[in-house]
Amino acid sequence: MISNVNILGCGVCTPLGNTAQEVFRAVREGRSALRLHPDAFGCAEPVFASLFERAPFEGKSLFPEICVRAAVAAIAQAGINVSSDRTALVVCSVKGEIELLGKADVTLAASARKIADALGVTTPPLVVSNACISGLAGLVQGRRLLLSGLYDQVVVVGAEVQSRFIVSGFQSLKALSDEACKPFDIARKGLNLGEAAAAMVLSQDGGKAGGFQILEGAIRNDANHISGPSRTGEGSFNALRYVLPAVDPQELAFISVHGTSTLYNDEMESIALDRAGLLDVPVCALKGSFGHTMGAAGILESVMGMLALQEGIVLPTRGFERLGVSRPVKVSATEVPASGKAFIKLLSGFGGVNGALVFRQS
Amino acid sequence: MRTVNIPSGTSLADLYREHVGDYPKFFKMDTACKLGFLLAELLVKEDPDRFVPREDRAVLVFSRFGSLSDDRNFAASMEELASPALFVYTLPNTVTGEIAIRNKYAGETSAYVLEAFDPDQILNQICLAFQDRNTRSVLAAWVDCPSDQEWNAIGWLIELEDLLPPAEGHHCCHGHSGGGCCHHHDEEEGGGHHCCHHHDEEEGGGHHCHCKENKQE
Repeated sequence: MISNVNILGCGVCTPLGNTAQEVFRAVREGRSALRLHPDAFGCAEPVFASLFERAPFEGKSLFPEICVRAAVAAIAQAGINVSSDRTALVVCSVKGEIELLGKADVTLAASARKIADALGVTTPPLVVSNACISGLAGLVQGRRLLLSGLYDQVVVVGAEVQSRFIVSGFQSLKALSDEACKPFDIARKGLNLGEAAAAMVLSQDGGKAGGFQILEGAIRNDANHISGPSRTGEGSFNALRYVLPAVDPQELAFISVHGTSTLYNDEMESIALDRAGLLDVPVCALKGSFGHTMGAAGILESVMGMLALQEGIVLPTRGFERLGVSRPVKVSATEVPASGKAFIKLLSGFGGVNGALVFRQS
Repeated sequence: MRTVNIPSGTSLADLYREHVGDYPKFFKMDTACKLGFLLAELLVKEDPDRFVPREDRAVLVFSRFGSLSDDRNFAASMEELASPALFVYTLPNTVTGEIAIRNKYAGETSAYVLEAFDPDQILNQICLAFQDRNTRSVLAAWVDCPSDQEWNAIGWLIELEDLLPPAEGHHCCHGHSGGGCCHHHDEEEGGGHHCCHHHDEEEGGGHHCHCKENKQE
């Protein structure tokens, strides 16, 4: 019985580039679009973030536009019939088009309708809005939609566009760093927000030698706090514990962690990794390259993980210098060689939610 | 399966005092969270061993409007001083976190936004949640709250056993042999198929059960 799903196509749309390879190269070379925006969105304080130039999108709503661009690339690579009644669309985001609040229908359902129509998807779209693990949760649910036999292929697209709404909220929580974030570093002092879209096409058919599969996924709640992680890494550990039997430990090349660069998140993750017996596995955190792209993160960071595995490397953790968590996590500021055919993507978010996914190259 | 609903316009404070009373954090929640929280209270308050931590119950919340009413309240606060207390409720999944914290549910929690109240789509996602081998129970709710005054709020508690056919049957949906089901727990040898959905038959016997033979060795 096959319970794996194949990744037939990937697409990204980010301030660092619009093809997965181009963005991967940029991350590998240590580049980032993170910079100080002195007066972005009319916010009182400057914002250090990774944002799209607005000019090329003049006259368009950014959120559906970047979703469509990423999804079109993934669909083209996969070569699927997107209008078939056997094709599902899963859209993943936290706040969608919230910048239009008061001016338009800003519900995620309305945004998903625009994306479905633009892509030519004919089945009712499903929106996953599971805080910062939305993209990962969308892949979990997309995989289940296939295993259930409900659909033959699923397009999962995740994205976030930043706005005064989101920036003001994170500022009010004192969660933002005023300089480039430093995941797992002793001097880390908060996160950077980022914009991006990323998409994957999943199917039980069409797997190729050397292609990637999603072997397992899990979502677990800390049951602890709505806006802070568990001190003991409860949900993250439980998600890891659930997915680990799906992967041969010898094959596990690296773990792509959440690594937001907040004091509590990175510490929590180090504890979860320790509890799961994974401290000897290299980790990378990509928030120093992209910022926290929220609804896109689970998919974007997984696409980067796949390309890294193909190249036999662990991507550098940009911004990291000196370890600042209580457990000896194997994080590196520079690229290191990787051995193994599998990696784990780990994420956490508000509402106490955590997720883990296992990817493997066949 | 248990079902509850909270009619639009009900005094949520009164409902809280009548059925809960010992969880003052309730009053910090936005309307959507209060609704989801109260639905959960009504569904599980008679549970034996309530508050014993468990990982086998998932919490799924569905809506059309997400956190829209609180989004408006937070946006209004931005004009003066952005309120962190309002911001944390501008995520559609915060309600799932509140339910998990109150009840010590360490299982899956997910929030979904749909274009409309669509029982098929809701039931599909509930059935799919049972693909997680640790999930034996799903607390699901439709909490749709376009404003703080009007809402639709319905909750369901579905146990894995509810998806089993009544007799010893092994047929999913309508006796379609070989049909799929939403779940096949490997520990239930021979127990076969768990149906999760009775779709009215479309022509040609095309039944759409939500099926998975979940073999995880």
